[in-house]
Amino acid sequence: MHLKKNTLLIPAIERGSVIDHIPPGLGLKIIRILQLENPSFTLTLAMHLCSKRLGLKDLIKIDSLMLSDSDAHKIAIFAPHGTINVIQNFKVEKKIRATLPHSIASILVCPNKACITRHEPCSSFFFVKEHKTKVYLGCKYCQKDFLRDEIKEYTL
Amino acid sequence: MNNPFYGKDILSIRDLTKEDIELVLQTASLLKTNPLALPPLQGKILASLFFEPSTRTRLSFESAMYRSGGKVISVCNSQETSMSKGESLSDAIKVISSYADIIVLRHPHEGAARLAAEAASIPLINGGDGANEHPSQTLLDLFAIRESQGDLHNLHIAFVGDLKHSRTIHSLVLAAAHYNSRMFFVSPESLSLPEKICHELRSQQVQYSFHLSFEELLPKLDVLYMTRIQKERFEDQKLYLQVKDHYVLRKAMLKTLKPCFKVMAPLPRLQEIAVDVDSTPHAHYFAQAAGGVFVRRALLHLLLQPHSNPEIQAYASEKKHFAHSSY
Repeated sequence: MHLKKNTLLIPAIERGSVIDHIPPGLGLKIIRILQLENPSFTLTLAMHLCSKRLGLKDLIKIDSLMLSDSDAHKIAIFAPHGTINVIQNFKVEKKIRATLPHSIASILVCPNKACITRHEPCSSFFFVKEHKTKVYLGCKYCQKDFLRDEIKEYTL
Repeated sequence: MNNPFYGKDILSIRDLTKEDIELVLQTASLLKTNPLALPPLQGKILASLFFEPSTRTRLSFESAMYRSGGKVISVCNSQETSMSKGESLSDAIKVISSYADIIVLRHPHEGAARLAAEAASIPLINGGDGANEHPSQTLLDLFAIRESQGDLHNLHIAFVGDLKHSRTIHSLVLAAAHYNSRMFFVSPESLSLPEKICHELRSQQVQYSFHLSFEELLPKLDVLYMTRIQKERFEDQKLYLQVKDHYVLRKAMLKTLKPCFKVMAPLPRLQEIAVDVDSTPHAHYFAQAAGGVFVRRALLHLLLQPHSNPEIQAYASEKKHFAHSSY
């Protein structure tokens, strides 16, 4: 049974950030991408909440950390409908929508086993391309294109 | 006229415009007509770094540098370098940049040339990076096609063999798209041209079709481009054994042909072109390889000499008039 009253489950925060509309099951990935595993943050992850838009969603609340526009870029590849709500005095001070960046450096591992980035101590770099409803990631080095779901590994 | 190549890298055929390609081919033609047409590259050093086996590419680049008056330092076995001790490619390239004026790099991993170029402080030419690209081979292929056909435009070209792994095919197909070529892709289904390249061809409205055999296409063709099935690119050797003898061109097949029909191949040849084809007027693969020195000399001059030489400008202008008058 899915829980319906999301707000009762997750305590409100006075100051910090809430990442909403994360596709179900990807909350942990977003935590890793934003490097929020640091124990200095108090963080709540809720998974499989009911969502009008997504059916189900994950949600993350981070106490005392104000996320930025660049963080919204970073999560967009996995949470294209994601939003970051920046909270002050229990109120939403700023709402940042995830927007796909033109490129993504370092985070993703190229799935092409013959790509030089898998054999050298260097950062990956992908160009983000949208074609119809699909998002492709083009490796700058091996020049191969991948669908988002084809990328299984990331460097965090 | 400014020389758009000066100080740049040659990493991918995608980086070159049609005008860039024309400049290289015109410079190569000039050097073929008059090998001493351009000022020598005296005092310049080419670092020839081949971390994967090569005969033609390595030797033709080295020959090109010597014939243009420069010198060569080389590595042709990664086991002989500090990379065998674990040094990164980027670190090695940073150091080698201070020993030479230009680098040609062959490497087994895809994208190695782009990564190396980011580390290099001197121009770098991709001499083949895994199954990715081999732009100087493409330029010499175009040179050979133009030499044999008189013009690169509106030709019917069939590409045969391992279209999935052949970096030579990938680069040549993209370059031929500039010239309104009609392309025929002949391969087993498991080795067909990658979708990404097909997509790029569609976006340029190139006409192409897929085929499982090539014999019935021969009467339509201007150029038949044969490639070997590359054993080293197969993770599954069983698949290699299934397809390795799939396509063999024999003299007996060369019956009803266009007069200008030529067979080309990047070489080395294994079994895909029977030896009896060599004696026919259609065999062009050895002349194709020989032209590589002129094309690579052209690249070295263009990357290392800042201003377009007046001889190239005059030659290009003369060729332009010639092209117009021939229509």
